[in-house]
Amino acid sequence: MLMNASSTSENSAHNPGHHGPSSLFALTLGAIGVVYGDIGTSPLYAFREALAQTAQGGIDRGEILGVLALALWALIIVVTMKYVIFLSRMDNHGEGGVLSLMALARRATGGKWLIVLLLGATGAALFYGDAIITPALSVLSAIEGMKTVPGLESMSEPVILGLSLTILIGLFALQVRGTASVAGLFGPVCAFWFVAIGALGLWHIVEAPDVLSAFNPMWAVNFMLGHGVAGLFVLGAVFLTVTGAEALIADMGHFGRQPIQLGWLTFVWPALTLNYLGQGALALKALAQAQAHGQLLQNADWFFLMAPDSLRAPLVVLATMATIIASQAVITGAYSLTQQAIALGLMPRLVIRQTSAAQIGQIYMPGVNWMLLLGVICLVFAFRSSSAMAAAYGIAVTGTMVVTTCLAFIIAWKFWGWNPLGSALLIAPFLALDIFFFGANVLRVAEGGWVPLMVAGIIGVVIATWLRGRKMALQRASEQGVALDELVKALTARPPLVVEGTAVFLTQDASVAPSALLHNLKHNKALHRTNIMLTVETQTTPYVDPENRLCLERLDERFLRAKLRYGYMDKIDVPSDLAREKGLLTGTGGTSFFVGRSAIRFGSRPCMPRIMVLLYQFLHRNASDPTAFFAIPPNRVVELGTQIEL
Amino acid sequence: MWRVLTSYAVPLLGVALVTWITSTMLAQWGLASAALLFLLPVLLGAARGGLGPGLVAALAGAGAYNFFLLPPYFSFRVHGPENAVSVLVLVLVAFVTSRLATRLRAREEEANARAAISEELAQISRLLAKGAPVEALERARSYVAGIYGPVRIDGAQDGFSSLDQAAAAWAMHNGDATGHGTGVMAAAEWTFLPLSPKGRGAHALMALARPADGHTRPMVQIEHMQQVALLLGQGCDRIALEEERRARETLAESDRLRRTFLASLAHDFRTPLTVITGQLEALATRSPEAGEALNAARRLERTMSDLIAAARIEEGSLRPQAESLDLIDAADAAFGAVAVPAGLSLGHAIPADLPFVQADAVLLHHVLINLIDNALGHAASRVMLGAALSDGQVALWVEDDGPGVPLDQRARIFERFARIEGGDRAQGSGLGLAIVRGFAEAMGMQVSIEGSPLGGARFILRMAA
Repeated sequence: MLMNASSTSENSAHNPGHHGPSSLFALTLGAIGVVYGDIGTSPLYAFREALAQTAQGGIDRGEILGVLALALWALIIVVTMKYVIFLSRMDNHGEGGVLSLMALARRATGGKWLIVLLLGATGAALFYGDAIITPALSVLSAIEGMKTVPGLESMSEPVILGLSLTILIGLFALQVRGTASVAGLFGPVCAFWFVAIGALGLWHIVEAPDVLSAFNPMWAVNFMLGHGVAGLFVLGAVFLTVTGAEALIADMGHFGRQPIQLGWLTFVWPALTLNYLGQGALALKALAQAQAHGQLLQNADWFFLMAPDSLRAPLVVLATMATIIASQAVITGAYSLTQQAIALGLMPRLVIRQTSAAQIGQIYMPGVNWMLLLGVICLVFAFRSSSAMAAAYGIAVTGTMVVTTCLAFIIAWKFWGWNPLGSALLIAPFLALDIFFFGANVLRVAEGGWVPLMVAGIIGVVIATWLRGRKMALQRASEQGVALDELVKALTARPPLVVEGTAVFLTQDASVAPSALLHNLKHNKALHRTNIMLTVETQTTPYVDPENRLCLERLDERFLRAKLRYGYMDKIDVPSDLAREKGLLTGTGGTSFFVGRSAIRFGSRPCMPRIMVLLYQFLHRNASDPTAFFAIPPNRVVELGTQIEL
Repeated sequence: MWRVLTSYAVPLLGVALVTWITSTMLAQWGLASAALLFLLPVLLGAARGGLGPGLVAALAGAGAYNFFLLPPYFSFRVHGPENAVSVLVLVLVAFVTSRLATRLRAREEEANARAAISEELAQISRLLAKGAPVEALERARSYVAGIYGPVRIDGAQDGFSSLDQAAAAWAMHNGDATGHGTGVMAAAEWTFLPLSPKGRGAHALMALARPADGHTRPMVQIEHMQQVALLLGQGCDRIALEEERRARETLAESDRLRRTFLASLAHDFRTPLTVITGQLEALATRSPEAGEALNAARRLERTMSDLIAAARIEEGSLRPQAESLDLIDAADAAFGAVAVPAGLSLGHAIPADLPFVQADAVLLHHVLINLIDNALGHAASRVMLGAALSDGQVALWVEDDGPGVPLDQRARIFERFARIEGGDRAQGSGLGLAIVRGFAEAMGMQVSIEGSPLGGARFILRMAA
């Protein structure tokens, strides 16, 4: 494969490139617990929902094998070929996921293509829809399995909803304590889950081996040709088998490519395939039984019915645990996506808390957490069953996939330097499939697909407002400001009182004198011995080595212009990174940090719609304290207020 | 590892035992008591091993209860909601018991940790209090270093990266804990803790290396180390105090030596000088050339008596006797004892109606001679004595028309060996004015200096009438 060497060889210490067999095993086990939770719990509802779309007038053999063939080939083409083999090679220094791809594409296109930003923002916005549906849907479907347990058939809807909500609220409430203490259990529990569902599948395949003919894609083709528009609805539901595939690349930074590929190819994929085949075999047996009694075959909860009566209760418990782990992975994914979005400037700063002192990257974001929980509760009450919710699920996931595939095309063309025609030819089948699936899901917008679209819309408006508002605020500030070079010249000609110490002025535009500096001169009538105009920038690479972060430019003996460049995954620590430069912060008199806190006012010459200004005002006011974000101790910060008219 | 295994194995064995007993005794005991018995292994597991073993015991117990005791036997078939309730109760018991046990254990561990910490602080205090302060500090430092890894309190910067140095500068200036494990410059390799409480100017620091195993030092430990740093800071204070005391002692000792030396010197010189002066006086009556030598000898003699007087003032052995004196007589006596150099005039304008003053005749004589001598040494053409009565006090002054004494030098001119900087043609010992003050104060007089209307300096003695 034609591949630019830089995309693989630059993998730094953050991404385990080479590992011994035992650490590879440990990483693979860890990946099984985090990466495959979502896709691994799809068998709970995917086959059932797909058959449900064609269940009117009974289910026949062609429908069972057709749906099964569609599911198996979706796993082969979408997950194995597109994600595991192709997209996993598209890493941004080891990091994957839609925003990492966006950052890579921006770098490749020089940051000028608006479409790249638009795609990234769309992908991020759609992910939040995904992040509220996954926990609600998977936990609800596991709890619904209790109805298949003999003796508990009479469980009413309120009991199921109450139990699901208890689990979900508990899960979100526990996020504040972090998952470091129980994360070690995720891998083994999920591994056990995959072994169990694989074994159940195998057991039924042995009893009805003719189900193996579903590997013949002709079943799928014939089914699609024979069912018309209903076939499209089935296709939309079949897509549920590949939900969670996005996590395969999103979590690549944590585990590395090899463990993820290994885990999928040798373990998860076989287990899922066996299970779907087993569900098909069970349906075929049920069909034979129904035909023998001269009845029509009705759809059923095939997954749980696979287990013998006596093991059904333990299976429900195991399924619940697996869905909790899958939900946990999605919630963690939402945090890290938000963190990346903040770092890349798509969203206002939110409070980020480290939940583990020992492990970097274990974070908790209260704002995101409670918004997600609110969304989950609304979903559970609005849809009340996993079948109803399944209609809403597909559109979020297919949307993200379309975005990912488009970004992949841009990266292959611009970053890998492929021939545009060649890359288009390679991507086109994938994109066609994605759009086909997306189209199939668009049919179900009225049934519930509007929910993720609405969530994505809200997030999209927030991102657009934030991007535009920041750009305009920066522009206004530089229009009103004094050029730094002129100020430095003026201060050299008529120097004010100089006091001991170092002042660091945080600013967004280093060519304009920060208002905090002007205020200091105007009201305190003093200048520090050393003045550093600091801008903090986020690069499109995930990490920047600490030694390469600082860029210094000396203007004269008092003034320095400094730029700190961080990767979008780096932990920002401004004092440490300034101090790495010899003698910069070791002078007498201590160091003070000056931060301008701007208030947004309505301008006489509005540059964007009032409602957007209002929203921007709200976001700006509620953005978390920049000093905490930059790891500056609060007792060394001077905040000076300014006003910006928009 | 072994502990973890047994913590799981023991309750599981308990479940097996209970299952065996209940299944054999089921007919006699009934299902309800059998179900209750399954609580025992859960309690055991949760109390000893925590939540994990408790839950495992609860699930195993529920499974065994279902499998062996509930009809249909040897199947996991769930019968109805009451089976779910029994599972729920067992799980709940496991949760509650393990929580209680864990909390109890946590509290115990907390108490132990606190005891260990205070024992450590007490040990540091003991080490610091024992023996010479420098060695005690070093012993305490190496004790801390033995527990927590490299510790430095020498304030040296070698071996520190620029990040460490900046963290140290920050801690020194602000009195915050900085560096590794703290909120400020956490990327540094060392932690810097001030040795004195915050807000007392520049802080001396304790540097603590990052743990060798690469872990982050927990916040609790940093807080504890801050206490340790303050204790070590007290050790440093003790050293500083000790040094100060030693410096003061040395100073006092050298002063005493100097005084003894001065006294014996003066004494040893005096006898031969008296002989020389006597012989020269006899010679001067015969040959005028000896006059100059006589003057020199007299000046030497006066210097010697100055030295002796200074030594007496220092020793505190001066016992002035108060008699009534007429200042005009005293001035005349002093005039007789000084040699007026050529080109200078000496006179007095003391009013005749002044009252008598209370003073020691010998000491006042000495004071006047020294003042006049000093004035003659600086005068351009004349030296005048004057006196006046004011507020019941008599002020006697000696003034000249020399260059005077600059304002900033007036305070220290009465100190011993004080010489005015700059062109000085006087060749006095530098003791004269110090003796003036010493004698004057011994007699209860105040001496001061101000500018004279003649242009030079005016030395004023104020005494009781």
